[in-house]
Formats: sequence, structure tokens, C-alpha cells
Amino acid sequence: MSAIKKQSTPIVEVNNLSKFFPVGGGQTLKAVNDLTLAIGAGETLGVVGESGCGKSTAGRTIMRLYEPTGGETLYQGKNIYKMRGSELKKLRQEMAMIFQDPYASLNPRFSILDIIAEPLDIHGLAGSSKERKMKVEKLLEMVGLRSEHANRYPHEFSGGQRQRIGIARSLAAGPKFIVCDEPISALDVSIQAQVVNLLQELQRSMGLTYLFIAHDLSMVKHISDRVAVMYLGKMVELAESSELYANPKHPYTQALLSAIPVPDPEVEATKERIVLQGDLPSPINPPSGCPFRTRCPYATEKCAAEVPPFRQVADGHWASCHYA
Amino acid sequence: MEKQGTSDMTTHRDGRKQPGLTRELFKRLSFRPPGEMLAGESVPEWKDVMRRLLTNKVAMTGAGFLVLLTIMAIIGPWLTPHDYFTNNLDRTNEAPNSDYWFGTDNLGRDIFSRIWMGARISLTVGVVAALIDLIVGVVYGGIMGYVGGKTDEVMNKITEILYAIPYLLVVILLLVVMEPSMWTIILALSVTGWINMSWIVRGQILQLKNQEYVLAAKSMGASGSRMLFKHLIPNTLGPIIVTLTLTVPSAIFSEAFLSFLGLGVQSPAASWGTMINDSLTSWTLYPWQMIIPATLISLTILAFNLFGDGLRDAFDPKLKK
Repeated sequence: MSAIKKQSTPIVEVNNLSKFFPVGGGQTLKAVNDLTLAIGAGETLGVVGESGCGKSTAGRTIMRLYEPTGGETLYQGKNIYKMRGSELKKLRQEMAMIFQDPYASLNPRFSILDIIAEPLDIHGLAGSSKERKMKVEKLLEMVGLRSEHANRYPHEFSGGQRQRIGIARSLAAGPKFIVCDEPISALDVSIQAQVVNLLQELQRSMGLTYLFIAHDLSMVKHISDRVAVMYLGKMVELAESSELYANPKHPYTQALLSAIPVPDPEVEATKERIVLQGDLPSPINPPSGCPFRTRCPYATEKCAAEVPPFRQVADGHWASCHYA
Repeated sequence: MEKQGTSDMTTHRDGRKQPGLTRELFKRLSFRPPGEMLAGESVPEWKDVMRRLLTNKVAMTGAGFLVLLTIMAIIGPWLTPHDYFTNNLDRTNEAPNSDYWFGTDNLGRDIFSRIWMGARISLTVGVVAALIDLIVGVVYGGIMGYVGGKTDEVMNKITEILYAIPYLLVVILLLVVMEPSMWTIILALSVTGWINMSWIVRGQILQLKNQEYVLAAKSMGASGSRMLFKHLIPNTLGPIIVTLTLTVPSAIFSEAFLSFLGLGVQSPAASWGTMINDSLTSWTLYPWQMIIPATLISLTILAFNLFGDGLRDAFDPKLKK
């Protein structure tokens, strides 16, 4: 499996991670099913997939907001699910998360000062209230807000401004690895570019590593070094971003990429689009064999009988399809 | 004036030249907008709540009445030379006059000072019972909602069982072992009174604990107590306060009702309920003996309800039609 991992030393390694939720009646919802990936230090790994494919659950389990059903996540070689006490607290300082909904991710009763200072308070990183305020003002300026906004409350800001407050908060404790859980999907397109550019700028200046979860393929291509495609809780394809977009191997990835609109009406009009039949199957009762076979235009009997292995189909290009 | 220089001409794909589109227009904006301004004064949420409450005339009338009642409960008995417990058998059943402002009862006791002693009992019962409900209900409900799972299931079943016991039965049972008094009533009301509060807090916390800001706190390494007391409970404060202001009048009513039945405060101590009971046999002859305490009970409960409604509207203006 080592070749799934990037050449540089991985900062985060996820091995056979699963997260099932009991849904009553003895059934389980397999939100994340046997996920394996590695993220190199300083890299951005994009994760794409349609709604309900388990990408947010994967991000939250990697952050240990959920306890996994199986598998492990190694942070700098150590299993985070076995960490306790001060070791876990140290991990919380080095890993951070940016959330999807800029309206729900800020406590409405906290001032911006208290919101951004929360990681400082939890980890005891600000000695005096003066130092605390100074650090917060610096973070505010770093994300393009004014330092005098510190005394305001979340409801006084727009969505894009709030998301930048969320980013400032995630940076406060000085993390190395940030899970961005659809940080731009709730924002206007014009604001999306602002936030993505800010994230890239911060990555360059602070040497951050991102796990960037999104469903906007063109945005993911723009920001990611490598891209992982998820379907029904499983990873179906993983490759360098340019390779994946130029040469998709898995039929699901091909269908996804064919749906990206091209900003040229003439090309757009003649472009061939693969339209998937049917709906996403229920993750409570996924299809036998290949999870994608029920919607795959090329499915054969073999696909129903055998689970396709996640194998290397080209150098650094992995896919789970019998025919890739 | 439109410039016509070649640098301002853009070549279209089919060879047409289009004026006005300069390279400058397509320059990427600085990722850092030069610090946006926010309009208006900074208003913390609680100030907004206060402003909405203070401009609500009905709620403020209720609050004004309650303030007046509290002041009278404190100083009322001292305003008249007559105390509330001395019998004066020469002057029984007097109508309100310049000596006895609210008249006297069948034992010649001064109704004016008895009324304000009764107000003390009513307010004490209301406030103490509500405080006990608050503390027990918030802690119990907070744990139910926050821990969840099996703990929640077991704790919730306990509340359902307790809720099924009628409190009248509890009072009567308590009276077997304890002296009937104000404190017995408070105890009896508290046995089941906190359940409603715990359900409200539980529901709120269940709803809030999956909010992203709580997950965010968890992702930063916040402890359980920090999440509960900094994030969850402060955000349920609105419903808690509203429930509290509606618990007080129901406790006041229960005390008056139990005292009226003879299960509560005993003579010579004065409670509005006891006073109505005392006047019952002769109320057609001496109606003021009943009308005065009955009016005060009604007004007090009404005032608390109006104030509670005003608070609810202030916390959540969307609920108002």
C-alpha cells in the first residue's frame, strides 16, 4: 500500500478507516467504509464526491470528532484514537478544522474576540488578556478583517466574513494540519475565490497541510495537489490532480468530470456529458461487489460478484475498478 | 472620454476587435480586501433583548406590578400599627376603614398586614420553588442531553415515572411525616416541579450539541464542562428564563390552592389561600375578606405571565405574530 502515500513523509496516514452509524432495527449506515489514504506534509489532498458519500464523516473521523468503527489514523506516526490526556490535547492543537456552515460554526453569544481566542484559552497560549487581544487582532488582520471587529458579534458579519473568522480561529493555536470541510460551499462564487485564495496564501506562508473536502470539482482542481474521489463511503480513485482530470480511470470519476461546465458556450453545447442513471444507493444496504455497479454504464456480472480491489493502474494513480 | 488606443482593444475569437476591455479589468483582486467596514453600533445580543423587553408596554406593566408587590411585601406590614396575628375580638369583621385599611377578619386581625405577610409567603414559595426547579432541572436535563445514549434513556424514564405521581398525593404523604408549612409545600412542589425544566433543557441541548460551533470547540480540545457551560447552557438561556418566569406563577397558585384546602400554611401565619378559606363561610356578608386576597392572587399570576410572555418575545422576536 505504500505507493498510495506520497513520496514526502506523510503527516497523516489513514489506514482502513471505517465509521458505521447504527440506524435502528439492527441496521448500520456505512458512512465511511475501509478508507486508506496518506497526506504528505505541505500537501493539499482534495476529497470529492456527491452528497451523502461520507466525505464529511471521513473528515470528522480523521479529526476524531467521531470515534471510528475500525481502522486507524496516524498523525506523525501515532494512532490518534489511542491518544489520551496531554497527548490528545497536543494533537488538538496541531490539527484544526474549518467548517462548512459559517452561520452555525460560530457561537452566537461569543464576541469575535472570544471566538478566535477560544483555542488560545483551551491550550493556555495567551498569558495576559492584553496578549490575548493582540494575538486575536493579528489573526483578524491576517484574514483580511479589521482589528476593531474583535468586539463585534457573529450576526453582524456576512457569510464570507464569518468564514474568514472561522479560518482565523482555526489558525489561532498554530496547527500543522487543517481539515477544510466544504469551507466554500455555503458562499457566493465571488466570495469563494477570496476564501480559497486566502487558504492558499496561508498554506504558503505557514506551511500548512490541508485535507480539502468539497463537491465543486473545478475548485478542488485549483487548490489540490492530489484528489481522492469517494462513492458510497469508499474511495474509488486517487491521483495527482492534473492526472486525474486529464485521464480519469474510474467510470464514476469520468461521469463527474463530464459534468463540469466549461465557460465557453460553443464547447459547452457540443460537449458530451455522461448522465448517470438512477439514484445513489442507500449506504445502509449497499450493492454487492462494486458499489458503483448499479449506475455504471459498463457493469458486468463480475462487478456484482467481486469487490474490485483498490489498485495502482498507473504510476501514482489508483482506482477501484475491474476494468480501469 | 473613451480611449481608442490599441492597448485598449481586445481581440475576440472570431477576429472582431472590442473596445473598452483592458487588461486591468481582468487583474486579480488582492486576496485581502482592505478591511471591510461594518455599519452601525456593535450591539451584543443581550442588549437587543433588553431593548425589546423594555419597549414592551404590557410586559413592563406586569414587571411594574411585581416590583410594587415586592416592595409592599417587604415594608407593607410596617406601614400600619396593627400586626398580623393579634386577635381583637371587639373589632371583628370590620369593613375597610381609616384605622383598618383593608378591614378585619372574623378574629379581628388586620387584613392589611395579613395581605402583605401573605405576599411574602407567595413570593418566597414562587421564587424558591422556581430556583430549585432551575438548579435541578438544568443540571439533570443538561446531563441527559449532553451524555445521551443509555444514560439519557434511563434518566428520561425516571422523569416520566416521577411525572406520573400526582403532586397532591405527594403533598398529603409528606404531611403525614412533616408539619404542614410553607417549606413542606416547597418540598412537595420541588419533587416533581423540575421535570418540565429538565425536559426543556434536554431538548435544547440535544438540538445544540450537533451544532458546528460545539463540534468546533471539541475539535479544539475543549473539555466536556467547557462545552456544557460555555457553549450549550448559555445558548439555552432564553428558554430557561422563560420557563422560569412561568414556573413562578404556577408555584404561587399551587401554594394558595393547597393552603386553601388546609394542607399548607397554618394560622396564625397568613397566606392568601388560608385567608380565602377563612372568609369562605361568611363571604356574602363580608366580601372584602375574600375579594382582596383573591384579586391579589389573580393579579400576581397575571403579572408573571405577562412578564414571561414579554421575555419570550424579547428572546425570540420571530415567535411574535
